[in-house]
Amino acid sequence: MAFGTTNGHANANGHGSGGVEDYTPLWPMVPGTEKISVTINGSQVQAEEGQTILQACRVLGIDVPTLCYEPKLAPYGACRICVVEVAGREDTPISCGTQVEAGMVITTHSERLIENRRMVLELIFSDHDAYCLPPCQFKCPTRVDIPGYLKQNSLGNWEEATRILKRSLPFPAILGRVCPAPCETHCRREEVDTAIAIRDSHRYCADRVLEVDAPAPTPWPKEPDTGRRVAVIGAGPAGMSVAYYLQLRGHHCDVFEAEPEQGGMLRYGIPEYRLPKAWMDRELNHVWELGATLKPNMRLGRDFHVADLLESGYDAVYVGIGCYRSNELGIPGEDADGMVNALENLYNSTRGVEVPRLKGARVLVIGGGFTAIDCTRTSVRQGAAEVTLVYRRDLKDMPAQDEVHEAIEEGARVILQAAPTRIVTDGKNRVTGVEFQRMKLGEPDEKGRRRPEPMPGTEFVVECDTVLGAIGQGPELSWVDTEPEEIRSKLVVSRRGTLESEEHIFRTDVPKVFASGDVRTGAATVVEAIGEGRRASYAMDYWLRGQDLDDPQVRRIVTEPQPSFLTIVPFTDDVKEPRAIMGKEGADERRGSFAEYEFGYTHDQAMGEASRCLQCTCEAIGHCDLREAAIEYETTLNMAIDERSIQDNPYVGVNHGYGRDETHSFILRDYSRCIDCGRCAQVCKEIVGAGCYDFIGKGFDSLVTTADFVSLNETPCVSCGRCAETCPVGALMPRPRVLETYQLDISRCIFCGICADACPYDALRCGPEFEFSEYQRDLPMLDILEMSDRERPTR
Amino acid sequence: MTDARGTGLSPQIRLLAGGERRLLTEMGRVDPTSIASYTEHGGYAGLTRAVEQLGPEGVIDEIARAGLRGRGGSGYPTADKWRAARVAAGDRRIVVANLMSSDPTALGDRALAEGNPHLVLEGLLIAAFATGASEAIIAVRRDWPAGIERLRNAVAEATTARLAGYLVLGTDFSVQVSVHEGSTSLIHGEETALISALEGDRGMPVIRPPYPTEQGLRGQPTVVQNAETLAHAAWILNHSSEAFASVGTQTSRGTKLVTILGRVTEPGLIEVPMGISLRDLLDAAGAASGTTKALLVGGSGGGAIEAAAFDSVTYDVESLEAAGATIGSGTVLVTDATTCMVATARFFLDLSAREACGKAVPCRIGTKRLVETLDRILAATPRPNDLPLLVELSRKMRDTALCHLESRAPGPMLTTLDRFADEYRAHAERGICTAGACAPLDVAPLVVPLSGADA
Repeated sequence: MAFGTTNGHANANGHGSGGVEDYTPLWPMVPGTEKISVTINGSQVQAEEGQTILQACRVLGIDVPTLCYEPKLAPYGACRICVVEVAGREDTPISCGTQVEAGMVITTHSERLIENRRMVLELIFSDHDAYCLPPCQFKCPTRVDIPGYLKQNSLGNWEEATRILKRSLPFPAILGRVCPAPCETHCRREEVDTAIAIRDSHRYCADRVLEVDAPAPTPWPKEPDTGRRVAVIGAGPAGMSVAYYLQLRGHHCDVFEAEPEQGGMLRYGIPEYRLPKAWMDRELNHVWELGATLKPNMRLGRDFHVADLLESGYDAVYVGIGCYRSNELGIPGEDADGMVNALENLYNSTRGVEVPRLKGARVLVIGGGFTAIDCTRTSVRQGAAEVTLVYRRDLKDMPAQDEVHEAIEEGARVILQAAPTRIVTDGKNRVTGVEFQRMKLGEPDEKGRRRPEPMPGTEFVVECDTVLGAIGQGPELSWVDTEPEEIRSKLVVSRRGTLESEEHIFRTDVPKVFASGDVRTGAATVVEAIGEGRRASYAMDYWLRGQDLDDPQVRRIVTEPQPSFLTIVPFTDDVKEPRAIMGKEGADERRGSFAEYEFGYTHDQAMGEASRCLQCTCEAIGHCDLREAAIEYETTLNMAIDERSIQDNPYVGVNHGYGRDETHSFILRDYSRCIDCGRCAQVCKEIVGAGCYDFIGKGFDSLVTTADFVSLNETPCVSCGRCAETCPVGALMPRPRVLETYQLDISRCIFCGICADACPYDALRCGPEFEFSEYQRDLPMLDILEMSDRERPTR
Repeated sequence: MTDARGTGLSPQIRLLAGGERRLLTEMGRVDPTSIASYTEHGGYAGLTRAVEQLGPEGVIDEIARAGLRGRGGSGYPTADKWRAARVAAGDRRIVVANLMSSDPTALGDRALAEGNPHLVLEGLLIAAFATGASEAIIAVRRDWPAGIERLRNAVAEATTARLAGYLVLGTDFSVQVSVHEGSTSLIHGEETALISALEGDRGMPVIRPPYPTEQGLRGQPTVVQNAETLAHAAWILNHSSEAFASVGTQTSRGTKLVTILGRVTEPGLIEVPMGISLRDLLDAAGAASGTTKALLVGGSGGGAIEAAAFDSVTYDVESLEAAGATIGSGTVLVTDATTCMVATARFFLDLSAREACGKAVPCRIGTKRLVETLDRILAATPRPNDLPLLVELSRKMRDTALCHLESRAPGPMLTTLDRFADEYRAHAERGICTAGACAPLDVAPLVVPLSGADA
């Protein structure tokens, strides 16, 4: 727990109980005020007469959390979180409402204070029906803003949606096809009806952007060239992500690829029917559009070494070479004729090379991952006579379970809970079958998957001609031995056979060399590789800008502190709307073709699906005092992987579910997020003078809102926004304004100039082309003289 | 509005025989609607003595000699309070008579308002004179119409008689007296909340310091004094400080109006000397009974004192505090063998939870959570850590409390949990009410092993 102080001089673990700290004021005292001496956390400090303890602490940079404290006003004392210990007092007085006195001995952090503050937070959360970070976003390895792009999708702003996606996920169209979508298993819409099709939705918007022949949207404008050069080894998902973000940050990247073309496993591991390669290239080309260069046919260890790159002047080297070495089955007969390397098989298939061992053969695939299922379905398409997939666990523990039913539709056979014991061969050492043993499911392991246990005496043989073993992959690290001694000795290969680099900052022991992605984690999903790549790019960019990665504060920023869910009350809603399902080809068409078989959404489907999103995100997430305090005081819940219920808070009980008020043009109110601190009511009454808000109700049902919950429109509100400014949480917010594009049809313009006069932001104004005031209208003028001469009847 | 016995009180207020009658002496004898009747019985002699003989400092000294302490619950020395307001900087000073009576079951203030309003008014005028206040406010609960009517009448009569208003008794002492009809909300009895309410805001406690005696109503030094305290002040000036101090303990002198409720033959109001043992209190009220299990002393912020301690615990501030109770609202709830202590604790906690003003987080949500925990125990569906949770949450609430109503709210629950833990466990673990008071459960209770309460 890091109860830090904001004072650079102060000791970072300011628990108060331990060492004496040396505080220096952050700003000078007001001249002429009486100085008194007090003791805070064991050190003698000067405070000003009339200051509160909180003010004295703030001057010294000692961090005391507050929620209801509004510096402009007298202390209010509603939140009770700024409590401190004062020697000689039995209770823990609030620091905002207690004045310093000479000789006072104050403690700002102790076990008791931490417990009391935590109690306040837990009580607030027990009646706080709101989410900070949506679970889907938290579960995505890239932390992409899912509610954000779904909101844009629901409005049909495909380009803006893609821009949001590309902020943390550079290849949304690719991931829209190949991602296992861990986000969807944690969608809160599931508690209403079915989860949002998050993956299918970003596939649609990214496809729309790829269709347009225009420069791809970037998350932010490319920054000016820094003059730094980075060598990225591996043009797979991790390497390409690193190149994408480093390029955007102004560092030039050369991407070294062993194969002739980009994509890594995306190209050489994932079959065409799941990811059309031409379409994939369109999206990957965005990296080259930003200025990176591809250096193909350059295999690490054969054509170049890390040492060469460092020698030739690269400022940093990123190793993202993935996992290309298949694990062996480890059973007798593995050298038999008819054993085919699963990755090699996919490599050939994806290049369109026909694999002779498959056509007409009885093929047996061993494994349950994505490689296994890809091998299975590829074998069907390659014209195998019979395809059998064997997996040692249950279907629900199978990583690729979503695709199994499609494989069966296409004609494959699946055997579960069986593990190979030996390869059966004939006299010529040719494969004739594989002997399996039945497995029963034992105790769950740490991931919750039940461990398979062999059942002796249940052996059986499956006859086959070709065996594809796909039971996992590791990185190919033989190149390490070809490096010169000073590099080889510093590159650490872990016990699992992966390349080691520091977590969060991805630095290896070799200076300037970084590594992440599958080479670090072992074989994982594309989205995890992209997440690793993105985070590595942040660390590298930081380092390339001359910052010290050792700085612990820096590490926190670089790794994006990832708080778990705040302990909140369960969501309830009863709107029902089914999920939109993508169309796809029938099994007969699929069987013989490598063409992509899923159609993707239609325009209406995509907008409809996105509008199902419950937007369980908080607009105030970046500047919420409650969240900040909750993270500091760890009133968060560490979520187990598959657990979604939230019962960690000891005070969970009945709670309020208030609505949301969007009637006012400028101020958005969400009562469910309100913590009743009373700041808005105070500010509105004391500073603005309007007095729109007050406490209503009594006891547990008290709430700070307008009288009788009326819209702000019906109060003396002057739309000054001070309430939204002072709100410590997201209960009152300036309403996000939707950007609209105005089109000026000059053929209809009457040059009244009102638009230029009325525009509050000076966006429309008189320019050199049109000078409204001097324009002469070529219209018949009424002749006033003639009119006055005209005879009119008199009364 | 007079009952058969002619005290002039609402029928729900019964005066018990016995005890040491001082404030209650004139009840029934004096006509509460007539200043003439009050002066006939020696009324306003104290005010006259104060104004004409003692002077402000003399009054405060007299009160200090008597050792009068506030009867509103906390027992703050009255003379100190008056002196603090007298010396505080301000344009003018204000005194407030607090008849907002947090606890609706307490009868003392109401009896004074209805039976002898001039006594309260005289005390208020003495306080105004002693502190130098130019404004006096009588804040009364809106649901005491008879009391309001008689207090208004008393103010009008006293003003006509030149005992209030301009130039009291022909001196240069002037005080404007008004009657404020206030909310019936429990929190409005708290002095800072009452001041907020008088200012026209929602009645919610505010941070102290500054204390009201420094910056109170409209920023001016303000003395908020319970009606009974003011009546005692008038009695002291009418009689003498020595007479007042003749009964009571060294630290708590004089008498106290106590409301006896619950399982007794005759509930009602009694005036007893401070420092009387709880056994004697019960005897004096004629409420002693062999089956008396415990006394809940002090209302929603009080505590339960078991029968075994009736002789050792005396009715005064220090002794009750030490026993986990308080003088509080001046009520004593008598329970017997057929009273469920868990349900009783829940009743008081629920009152605190429903009447919370909603300002402080630990009070607004914490009291609700405590009630929910007791509900789980009463329904025999507790969570394993419910008993330690009750104790810990209460301790933290007391640590961080904004006002004393919050810090004391868990009192009845904590003392019963401490002294009648068996009843809690029987409810929680077996679904049985050992007192036989609670309705049997419809469903078989879950047998949940609970961790210890002292965790």
